[in-house]
Parts: sequence; structure tokens; C-alpha cells
Amino acid sequence: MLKIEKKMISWAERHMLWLLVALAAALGLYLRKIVVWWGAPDINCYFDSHENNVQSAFYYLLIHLMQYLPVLPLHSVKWLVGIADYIVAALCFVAVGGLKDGLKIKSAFYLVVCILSPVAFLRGICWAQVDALAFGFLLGAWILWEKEKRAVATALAICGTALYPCFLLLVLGWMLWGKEKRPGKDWIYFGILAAACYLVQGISGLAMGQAWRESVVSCVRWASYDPCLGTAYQELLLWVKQMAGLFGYGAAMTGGMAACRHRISYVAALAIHLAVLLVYGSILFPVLI
Amino acid sequence: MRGMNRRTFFFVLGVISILGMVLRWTGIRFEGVDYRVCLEPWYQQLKEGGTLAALAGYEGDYNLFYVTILYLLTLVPAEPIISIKMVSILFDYVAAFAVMQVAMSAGEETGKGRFYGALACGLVLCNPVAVINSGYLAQSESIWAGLALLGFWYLSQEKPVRGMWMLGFALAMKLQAVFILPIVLILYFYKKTFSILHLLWIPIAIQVSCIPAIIGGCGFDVAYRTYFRLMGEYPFMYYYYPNIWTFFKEAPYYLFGKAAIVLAFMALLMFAVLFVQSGRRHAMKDYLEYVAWTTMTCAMLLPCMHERYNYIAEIVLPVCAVFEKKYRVPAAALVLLSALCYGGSYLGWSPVSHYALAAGNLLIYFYLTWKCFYGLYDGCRAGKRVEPC
Repeated sequence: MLKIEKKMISWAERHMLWLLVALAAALGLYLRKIVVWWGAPDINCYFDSHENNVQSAFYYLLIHLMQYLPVLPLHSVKWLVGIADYIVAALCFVAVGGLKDGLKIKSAFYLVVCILSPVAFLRGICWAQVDALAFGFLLGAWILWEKEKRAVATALAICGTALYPCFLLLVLGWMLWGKEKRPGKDWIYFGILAAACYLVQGISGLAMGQAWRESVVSCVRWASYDPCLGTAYQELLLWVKQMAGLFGYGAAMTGGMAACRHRISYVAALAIHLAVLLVYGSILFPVLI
Repeated sequence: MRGMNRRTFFFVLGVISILGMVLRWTGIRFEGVDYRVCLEPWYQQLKEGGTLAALAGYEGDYNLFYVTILYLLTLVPAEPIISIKMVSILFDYVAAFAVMQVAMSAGEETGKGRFYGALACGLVLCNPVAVINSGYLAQSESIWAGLALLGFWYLSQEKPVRGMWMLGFALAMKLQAVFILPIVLILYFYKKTFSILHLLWIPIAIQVSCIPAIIGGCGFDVAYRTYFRLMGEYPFMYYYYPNIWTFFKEAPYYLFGKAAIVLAFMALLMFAVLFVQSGRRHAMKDYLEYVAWTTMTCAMLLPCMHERYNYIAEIVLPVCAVFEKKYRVPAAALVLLSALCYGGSYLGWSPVSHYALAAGNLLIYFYLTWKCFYGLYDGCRAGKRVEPC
């Protein structure tokens, strides 16, 4: 082996983790650039709230504003989510342990997994669903909450839940999970969060020229209305599949983090990830099952 | 029982070799679909051509190295079905020899090298997948896999030139031999016993294997043109090997094919990082596991995989089970699933759902991944570094 070769290898060994992360980031971007041209079968419903206002008014306001960017309408949404994928990955890196001694490899690996996760890839850049953006807000909120920065955390959570109202249920679940330890002050923050979420919906709806009441109700329509057809669900299986779709991304990402923090086993996290992947795959490439 | 003297060792090897040949001979007259549609017509075409110039007129999609072997077989006074199968069978023995050497080396750490070597040899030669592949179907997997494993063995013994020549011939035989390269590159980073310049022997070996074809009138770059043609030949995510893409058959290859390649590449890279960063002193039996894992990663995550492309893992994992009891069930399951896949596709057995086969393969793959990664990660967490053995 040549001397220069040995030097280069030892340099690569020293910086291996960061080279891995940089390469993953670059390849993730490259893949997203290719797939951004692919359209999911239900592509029309991104820009259509139907007469029932199925999706949140804040989401439609955001989509409307994104159309002013000098890119194709669909690409603007997709790139918004694509960037959010990277933000979520960075936040997951912090949540798993960041640069702490002994946790560096695990955190870096999870960062790579988040960037290249097929679940994030399918749900985000392929399907243009904004889960990553909303989840990013909530994850940021959780990290700040743990650092006792409650006001900023609540503000971030408001953005996340307003964008994706079904996540309000997740926040409630999280509050109830640690019920014994929660002081009353925390519940006040939750009350503010819920009220602000509805308020943001109403204001967004008004900005879009919709009635206040209709916009506020859009916060809960995700539970019973099909976002593509705009009609109430008629079949239980379809409803279950849609709910799995709505919560799947969050479950997959949270599952991974929980496994890295030894809250659940890696097998369970992998099973969740694969199950969500199968649900997304079955919707996007319908030959499955 | 386990301590085996030299004479017993060779006696057992002889018995195993005869048994392996008997198993293959039972299917020697069987004509698989690939034999009828491809190999036999190619053989006849080369025979009619008569000279090396027939190689230039070859229209099939196999590499010229294998076609040259087919041409040489036309000069042998034997029925094509037997002569073609005998070449594959011969390389079954080469593969068995290479795996036996690795197993003996691994077993020497416990003083039972010969016992493990004989067991490994038996497991390769009597592996149903290997028997069906070469003895029944006249496929050439044993050739590239045998050469690749031999190359790996030479590299692990710090004989890089021989190793690279073997790898070059394996690649010249079939592009799928590239599945062994990740572990070779990991060895390069970890052991630091050979230079990157040694890799240059690979294209030289590929070129040497094409000399008869070039003399026959093929272009100088014929080997590489074949690779490029093959890479875009079947633009499908799923191509009969029950891997993860079985569940995403309808995903368009032109968009998602690259994503699959990147996924496989990053999985291998993460493994390489763990491998290098871990403080473990890797034993020879660990290398066997890593060979099985890296080759299986390629077969499970890359797009457009044929039924036969996981061949190396299918013959190596049962040998890993000799050293590690926990692999017995996964190894048996992998061989069974592969045999079912072969049977459904080539032998006229009633086909088993590819979703079920894919789910089974994925379970085995994830188990193997967990075993390999967890062992290495433990070393990383301890934060110790030791010099490679």
C-alpha cells in the first residue's frame, strides 16, 4: 500500500461519520431531484379542498402562498416537504443524542436513515404530503419543551398542528401519557395550543375567502372525510388505511427515535417502518395486496 | 469425533464429493427452460460457426467469457447438456473448495479446522440450491460465485494479485460477481494489506478473458459494452427474485431504480463505517457472516434481481450456521425459500406466492442485519480500537 494511500485512508477513517452524512445528504437530494417529476395518482386533491373543506385551511393557505414561488406548482409543495425531510433528520439527530460521547454513531446513523427512509421518501417528495413539515414543527417543539422553553415550543406546536390538525390528537396523547407528572401549567399550554390551532384555521380560512366556521371545522374533517374525493368514508378498511397513512409517517419516525432511546426494541421500530411503507406502497402502487 | 486426522479428512471429502456428484447426476438429463431457449441454441450456433469468429456473431446476452467456454465445449466430444452442466458442476467444487478453506481457517481457532472444513464442503456440495442450479438447470452461478469466493479467500490470505485475478474472472463471467466487491473494499479499508492499485488487475483479467473473442473479431471493449447493455436490459424494480421490491412491482424503474441502488449503497456504507469503527477483532467466521450479509444486501435491496442472484448468500449462510447455532433456522429457511423459488420458476413445482417468499427472505435478511450490525455496534460503543488481525 502506498504512503499517500495510507494517509488518505486514515483521514477518511477519522472523518468517516461526517463523510457518510454528507454523502447521504447529497444522494438524498439527488434522488429527490429525480422523483420530484413523478406524480401520485391522487395528484389533483393537493390543490382542491372540496366543498367540504376536507383538509386544514392553514394547509391550503400555505399551498396557495407557495404558488407565488417561481417553480412549478406541484414542485413548490414537494420541495417544501423535501427541505422539511432534512430538517426532521437534523432534529432527529439532536433528539437521539447528537454529538454526545458514545451516541455519535447512533445519531449519525439515524440521521442517514431519516434522510433516505423510504417512508419519508414516498410520503414527502413522491406524494407531496406535508407530514414532514408538520412533524418537524412538533419535533422541534418537543426538543424545546424538554429544555423548558415552553412558550417557543408551544408556538412551534401551533404551526405543526394547524398545518396537520390530526397531530393535535398526538399532542393530547403525549400529554395524557405522562399524566401523573404533568403540572396544571402544562395543561394551560395545551389549552393555548388547541385554541390557537383553531384560531389559525379560522384566520387562514378568512384569508382564503372562506367562512370562519367552515375553516374551523376543517380541523376535524380529516377523521371522517376522504381527502381525495371529499366525501365521507363509506368503508371501514378505507378509513383504517387513511388513518394509517395520516399517522404512519409520524409513527415511523417516532418509532425509530424511541428505539434509539431504548424505549422500544429495534425490531418493533423496524416493523412499524415496514408496515407504514407497505401502506404507502399499496396506495401509490396499487397492485399490492 | 470432531478431531479429524488427515486421512479421515480426505476420506470424508471423497465421500462428500461423490455424493455431490451423484446428486447432480440425477438431474443431468433435465432440460430447463434457459437451457432449451438460450444455452442449447447458442451452443449450436457456436458449433456451426466452427471457428473463433463464431464469437463475433454471438447474439445472446451472456458475457463473452462464458460464451468462450461454450465455444470450447463445442470442441469436446460430449453431448452439450452434459458438457455444459459439467462446467458448472466443476465450479461447484471450486466454490466448495474456497468455502472449505475459509471454514478451515475459521475452525483452526478452535483446533477443529478439518472438521469444519469437511462440514462446510459438504454443505456447499449438497446444498439443494447449488444442486438444482448446476446439476438440473445448467446455470452458471457456480462459476462466478466460485471464482468470487476464491478471490475473497486469496485476499483474506493477503494474496491480493491472485485474489484480484479471480475477482476479475468472476466479473468477466457475470456482472453479479460485483456483489462480493463491498466486502473486498471493506477489507481494503480495514486490513490495509493491499493497494487500491491492485484493483487494476480486475479490468486486466476481464480483458484477458476476452482475448479469444477479440481474436474472433469482437471489439476491444466488448466486455464493457456487454455490461452496459445488460444494465439497462430489464427496466423493472422486481424481476422474479422475491426481495423488498416484490411489494413495489409497479413502481416505475426509471424513477425508483436509482433510489433502490442508493439504498443498497448506503446500507453497505453504514456497515463499512461500523466495521471500521468497531473495536472488534474480526475472526474468519465473522468474515463469512459479512460475506453472506453484503451479498444478501445487494440481492434484497437492488432492483431487477433474478431468482439466482442471491447464490453466494445461499451457499455461505448454511456454513455460518456451523459456527453460530442461531443461524441454523435462518440458513435452512433461506435455502428452502430459494429452492421453492427455483422450483416454481424452473422445475414446474406449484408456485408459492412471491409475496410470501419475499416476506420470508426479508425476515431472514433483517435478522442477519441485526446480528451483524449489533455485534459491530457493541464494539463501537465500547470505543476501543484494535489493530486488524
